Amino acid sequence: MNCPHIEELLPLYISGDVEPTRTNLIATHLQSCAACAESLREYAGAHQLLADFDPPTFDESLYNGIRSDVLREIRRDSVSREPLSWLGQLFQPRAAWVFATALLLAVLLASVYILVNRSGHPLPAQQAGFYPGNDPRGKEPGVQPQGTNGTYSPPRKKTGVAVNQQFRPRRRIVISPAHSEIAVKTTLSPAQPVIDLADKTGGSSSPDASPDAGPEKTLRLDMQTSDPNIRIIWFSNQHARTGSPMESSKGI
Amino acid sequence: MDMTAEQWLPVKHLTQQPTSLTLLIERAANGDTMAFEQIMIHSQQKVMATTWRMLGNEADARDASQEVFLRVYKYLGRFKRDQDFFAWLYQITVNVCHDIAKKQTRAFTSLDDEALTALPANIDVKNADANLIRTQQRELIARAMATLPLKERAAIVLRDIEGLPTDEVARILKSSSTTVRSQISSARRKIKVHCERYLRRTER
Repeated sequence: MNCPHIEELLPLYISGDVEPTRTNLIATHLQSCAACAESLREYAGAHQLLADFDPPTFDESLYNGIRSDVLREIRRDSVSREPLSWLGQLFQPRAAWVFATALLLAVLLASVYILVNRSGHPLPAQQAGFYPGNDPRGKEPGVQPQGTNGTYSPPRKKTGVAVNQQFRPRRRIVISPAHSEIAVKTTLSPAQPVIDLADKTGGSSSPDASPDAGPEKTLRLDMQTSDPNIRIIWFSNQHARTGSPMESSKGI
Repeated sequence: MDMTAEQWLPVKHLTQQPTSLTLLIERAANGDTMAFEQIMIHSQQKVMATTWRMLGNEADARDASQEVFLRVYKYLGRFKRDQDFFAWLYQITVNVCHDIAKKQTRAFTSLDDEALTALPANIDVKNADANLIRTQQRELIARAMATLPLKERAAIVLRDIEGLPTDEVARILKSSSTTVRSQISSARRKIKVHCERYLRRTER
């Protein structure tokens, strides 16, 4: 061991914090090295000064003051805590676990409840504004709005027997953007049209009216799509007006 | 040097209050402020001395001691019976001193610095009054302590001044023995350098 190495170990050597094997080596070195021995004396002197580093004698009044201040603080704290003692108990380790678990359960239950309820309402068609009874503008399905722009067509004159079968969705469709097209297709089902058989001449008509009844007679088939703004009007008679087999009121 | 509870507690209070410390702790933990006051009487001098050594001035030491006792009362319910009360008390004391020292920078300033400024350059140690020498030495160490980082200061106070074994110091500081040894070694080296001139003069 050389002097720099010994010098590093001296601070711990003075208090016996060096391993026994090294202690012997240091002791041997100190016997033969005056510089390291001098350094050891300085360390020992500083160590002694530290050991004697006593505070000045404090008055008893200082201790009395500390005690009275502490006790006053404790009493004040206990008085202020009494109404909110239950709140403080929440932050005890065990109570905090129970509280956190209960809170987590409540959040989970609330999430499940919301998910279950949302899966039933509303229908995707309704969300997209396709459901006839849910006209976003507050108008009844099938009724053309009054006083709107150019695509407006006047209300038709119903002189014959009108069979109105309002479309009603028969099943609910799970909310999903991917299913919105299916909803449109479902509502377009030709099995559930709004059928309006009208006799243009004012005579009696029926759904099974024969096209041979006369050239004046026209069988008009109205199909209401899920979009209240779109209605398909189909003239199925061979005497139907040409040039406009289909009309659309889209854009109203 | 391993300190026991008997060494720690002022004897006069022990004779006056025959109730054991464990019982006092138990009663205080249940809200008995009288019992807690007895605990304070038993430990106030030690707490005050440690805080003064850590912070270097009476005002901070007083504030720290008050905070130590408030924390002791607050967390007495968590104190385990098989735990060493005084090691636990040291732990709280060191933590409080750390908190206070971080908040303010007046530790080891004010009075101590003024006194050190007044220290004569040539001290005739042999002819000086013993009390003056003691005061000068105290101020010298206080100034040296002020140069130490908080962790080294805590380690040196507990190991060299309070006289606790290194392992106990490591437990109190929640550190490893190796780290504490390193901190102590570093602190002693700095203090020795700081006190070198004084020590060489006294050896003459």
